Amino acid sequence: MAVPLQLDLLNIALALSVLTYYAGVLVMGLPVPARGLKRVGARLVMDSFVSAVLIFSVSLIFRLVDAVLELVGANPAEALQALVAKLYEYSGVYALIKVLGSVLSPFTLKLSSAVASAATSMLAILFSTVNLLVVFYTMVFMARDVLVSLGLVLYSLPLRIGRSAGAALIAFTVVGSVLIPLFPPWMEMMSSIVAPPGLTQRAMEGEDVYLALCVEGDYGSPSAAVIRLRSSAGDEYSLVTLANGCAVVARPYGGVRPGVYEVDVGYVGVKLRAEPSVLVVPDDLRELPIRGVVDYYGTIKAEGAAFPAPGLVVSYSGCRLEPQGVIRAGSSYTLLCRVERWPVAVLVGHVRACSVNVTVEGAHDYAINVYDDSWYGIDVRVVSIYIPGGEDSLAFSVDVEGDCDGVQPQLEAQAPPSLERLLSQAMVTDVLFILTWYFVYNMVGVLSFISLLIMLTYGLARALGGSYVRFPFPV
Amino acid sequence: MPEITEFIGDVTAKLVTAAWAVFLLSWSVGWLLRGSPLPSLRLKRTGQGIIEDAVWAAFWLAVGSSVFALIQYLASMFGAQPVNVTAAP
Repeated sequence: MAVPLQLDLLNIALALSVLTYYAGVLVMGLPVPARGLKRVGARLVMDSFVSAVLIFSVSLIFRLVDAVLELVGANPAEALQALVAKLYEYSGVYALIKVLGSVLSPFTLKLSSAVASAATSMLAILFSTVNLLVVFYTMVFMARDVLVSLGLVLYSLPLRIGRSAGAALIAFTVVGSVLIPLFPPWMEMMSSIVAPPGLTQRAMEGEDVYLALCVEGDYGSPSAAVIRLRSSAGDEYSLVTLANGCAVVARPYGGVRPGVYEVDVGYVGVKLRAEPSVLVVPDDLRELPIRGVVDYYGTIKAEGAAFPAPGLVVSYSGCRLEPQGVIRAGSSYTLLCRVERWPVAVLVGHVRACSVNVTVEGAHDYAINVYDDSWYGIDVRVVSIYIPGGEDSLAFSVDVEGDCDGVQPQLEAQAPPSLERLLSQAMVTDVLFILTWYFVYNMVGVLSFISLLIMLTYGLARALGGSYVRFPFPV
Repeated sequence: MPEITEFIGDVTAKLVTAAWAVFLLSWSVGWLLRGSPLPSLRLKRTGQGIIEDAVWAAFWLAVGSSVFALIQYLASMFGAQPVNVTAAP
């Protein structure tokens, strides 16, 4: 159903088309024996025909677009979700790079700071490009009727004043509404083209099992957590989650051997109670669900943990997070919690570079203890709150002071021995390798997609705005 | 918005009137040249050309609104939904 604004615009476009037609006829009928002038008249008449055909075919254009979308099986709503998920993913990777920067030993820092600065500039490009796609999506799918009608108004202006601009607007809307929903399959295709050959080959040949593990809290996922697996046979693996709380490959590089593992999960600050605490990696599982790299996909539930911002975790026991979860206002986070049993204990962990201020509402009496700790070698500060009793619902306000996203390296701090266990040279190489693959894949995928969008828009605009149709009658 | 449409419609109506006037003028000028008592074949041919153009212009003027109706009909034949727009004058 046409919206009133669209109808108004179409009325104007048709009125302009009619005006152009009669102007053309008038010029054709002038008693001046000049061929050039007559040709101008014929061109005006033909332009009005073309624009009238477009005006009356507006609904046809959209039906065609919808038919194409159905044919290729693209869903616009899923595309928007995929685009927004990409934005979150990039923020997660950004946080990861910053957190890695804060825990690396001076030995590896020189290498990684160069990589980190290149990676953050690439992330900026990727983030703004995908953001641009979200803006395009909103324009195209919220107002495509109006955009095309406006394009037609410009297109119908006499003497081709706005023909190119109108054609560009129409082409942008049509190409955008067909192409932007194809973003997820496009990225999928790119991932199969740009997949790291070494990694895939090793996954295919090796006897070990590659696994992807995702950490989930009660509210969201951490962008940078550490998962440690330990088997009774003495095998030990450390995984650093990349984005969306998922780690895609285990150290050492040979992959994780089938077996039974104890799971140990920690965020930058706090060791989390992980569910399952025992992970069974099956030896007969040979399907490759995630882009041919991973054999086994698992989810580790971190009970009583919320991840309000990169670099900040709140872990609690004795209460349950309310459905509305975490309320954010600037750099202040409020967690609403319903008490299940007393006493309630809350741990707020963060990397030592940023400081947080915690207040509790709904309790008359509570004790706060602040201490510095290291978890798997990462220097952290933990705010521990003990609440013996109070009201049924509690609210923890966590004010982040300082730039928690841009965590600074803590070089002056003595690196604890366990740091080397987590981030040895091999581990850094692994992370760098995965990051490199990640950036190649994303840069190629996202930039080629936007180039395709621009090229197709330009081509269609040229085709619509060109003057290929000639007046078929004698003038 | 409707004011803009009305304004364009007014201009179009004036343009149509002017076009008919131009047709009459061309018709007259054409016959004047063609019937002038001057023994110049070129002049007569010019007059003939102006008359022909005027006749074509009158034809397109007369079928104007029918042309747009035809385009709308053809578009709907290919599956376009009818667009409720103001009729051509």
